Amino acid sequence: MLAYIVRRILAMLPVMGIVVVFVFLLVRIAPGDPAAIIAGDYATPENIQKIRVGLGLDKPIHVQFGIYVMNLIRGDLGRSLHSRLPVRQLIEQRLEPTVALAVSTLTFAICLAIPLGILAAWRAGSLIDRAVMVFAVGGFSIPVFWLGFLLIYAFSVKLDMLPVQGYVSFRQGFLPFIRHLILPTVTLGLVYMALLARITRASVQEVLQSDYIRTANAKGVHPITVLFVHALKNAAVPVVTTIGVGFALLIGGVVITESVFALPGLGRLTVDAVLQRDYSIIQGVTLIFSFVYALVNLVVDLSYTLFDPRIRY
Amino acid sequence: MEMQEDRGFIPYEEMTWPQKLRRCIRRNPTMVAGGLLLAVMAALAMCAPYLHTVNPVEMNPVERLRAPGAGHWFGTDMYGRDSYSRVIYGSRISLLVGLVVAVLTSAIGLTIGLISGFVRKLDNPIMRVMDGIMALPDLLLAMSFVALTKASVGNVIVALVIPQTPRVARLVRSIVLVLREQPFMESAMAMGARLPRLLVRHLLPNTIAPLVVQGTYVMASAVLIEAGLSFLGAGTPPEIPSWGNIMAEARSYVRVAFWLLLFPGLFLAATVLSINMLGDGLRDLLDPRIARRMR
Repeated sequence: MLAYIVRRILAMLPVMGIVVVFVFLLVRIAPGDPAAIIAGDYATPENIQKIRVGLGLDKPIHVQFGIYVMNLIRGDLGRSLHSRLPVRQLIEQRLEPTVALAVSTLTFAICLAIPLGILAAWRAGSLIDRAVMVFAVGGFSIPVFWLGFLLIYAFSVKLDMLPVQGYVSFRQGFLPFIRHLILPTVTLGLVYMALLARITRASVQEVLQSDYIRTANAKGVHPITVLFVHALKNAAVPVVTTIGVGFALLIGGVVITESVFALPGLGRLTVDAVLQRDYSIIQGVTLIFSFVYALVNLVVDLSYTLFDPRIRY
Repeated sequence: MEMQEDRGFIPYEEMTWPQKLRRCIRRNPTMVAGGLLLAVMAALAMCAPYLHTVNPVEMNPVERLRAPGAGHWFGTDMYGRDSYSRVIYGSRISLLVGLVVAVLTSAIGLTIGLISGFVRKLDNPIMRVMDGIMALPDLLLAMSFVALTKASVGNVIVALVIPQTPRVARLVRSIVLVLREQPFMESAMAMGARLPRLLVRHLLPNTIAPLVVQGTYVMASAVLIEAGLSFLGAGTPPEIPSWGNIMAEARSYVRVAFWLLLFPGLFLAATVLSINMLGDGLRDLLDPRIARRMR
């Protein structure tokens, strides 16, 4: 098992390597010179060149790449082209709101979607089953930002129950923290929930058709026991896979949700960096997100052994 | 007319076309509903000039921020532009981008998948690159690409094709991996068929059904992400009305003019919903086993 973990982490390295190269090239191939943007509209070519040298952008691409990789190994993600602040510091400052949103969304979505999916599969063909299916397809089709504005309009503008935008750290009070986080969580959570409920329902339904479930029912085992002791573990694998794969959806959704609700997190940092062509931040954030995504998928793969003892590494 | 024995059902070959239509609707309600709604959206987009619309970019500051009413069905925005016209014209961009992305992704993904699945030596390197692209979250990749090149519809399309292609390629590759061991492939090779013919004549037809299903999901995803990109300012340029653009401009007016956000979003949700419903129906119809596992 340990050998498998080590092998998987080593296998992540070439993928991360490709990601690094890809982002590095993408950012530099494109037109749009950051030095010119920093210098402004009225700069002379000498100014622009001076800025470019100062940023190290005048060196040939492979030299730039070599410098970048060397720094990366030391943990230095470079400096923002615009503010000259270390990228690492910028990311650390913005980490908390994003992590708070992601964790609360995951909890909300998983805690609601999985029971819903199980219920729908158990009572297949009934009203609740159809309701869950409609919700699943509908929820997945709704654009995240529209849903966010709908909720803002309903709960903040009309009912005035919750704050419209902004983020309060939990160190400044637990209740404001929760109040500011509710709408973004529900917005993002609903979309994630729709996907998860649907996969859960399909998976549990498939498992419930199995012979051993029919045997357990015929033996007179209590339906709850059948569901939770016999069926659930076998249905878990596709569900957990979807949690991992849906994480990429979550990251994209976090970017949009942070923009709608004005949360000062990594998503906003990325949007601003992209609009300003700030190469270093774009590279740093993309790397972090990809790394986290790869890690999440690794955890998901490892968790398979918990659910299905036949899977052994 | 002779007395026909009543078999309790009419065989398919003897059905008239209205009966066939009724049968199709009864068996695949979601697919038909989704298809109809999508057709309505497409019709709206194509017939935009004839649907009582005005010039969507024409500003009329006298009529700023009017609520939906007789003259302006969806109200007017902060520059006096008619919201109804903008929403209808906006559907053109969204549907166009969605369709082109779906077609391009399918074509490119098909090619890559076929080659990767069949030519063993190229399989590993191609799949590593695909994994690398798939490791980047879709929105970030698309956003980076568009913002780093000029904002235009063409660049948005390229930006959306790049993240989606690996998934299609994987799907095609998995089908090819199963099929290449089949006896019919062996006999084709024994009869002297060379690589292009093997790929196109024998493998490709078997990939069409899942490809079409995946294509609908790609289209839905493309429409959503394009709107998201435009909303963030990294998508369609602001001169061209697109649902995401319209909502981006309207976001400061949540309190005073919520209709500006309501209608574009409603149309967007309806369009994506119709595509998803169509895709689900097609999937249930064409090949439930393969498509479900690969999605």
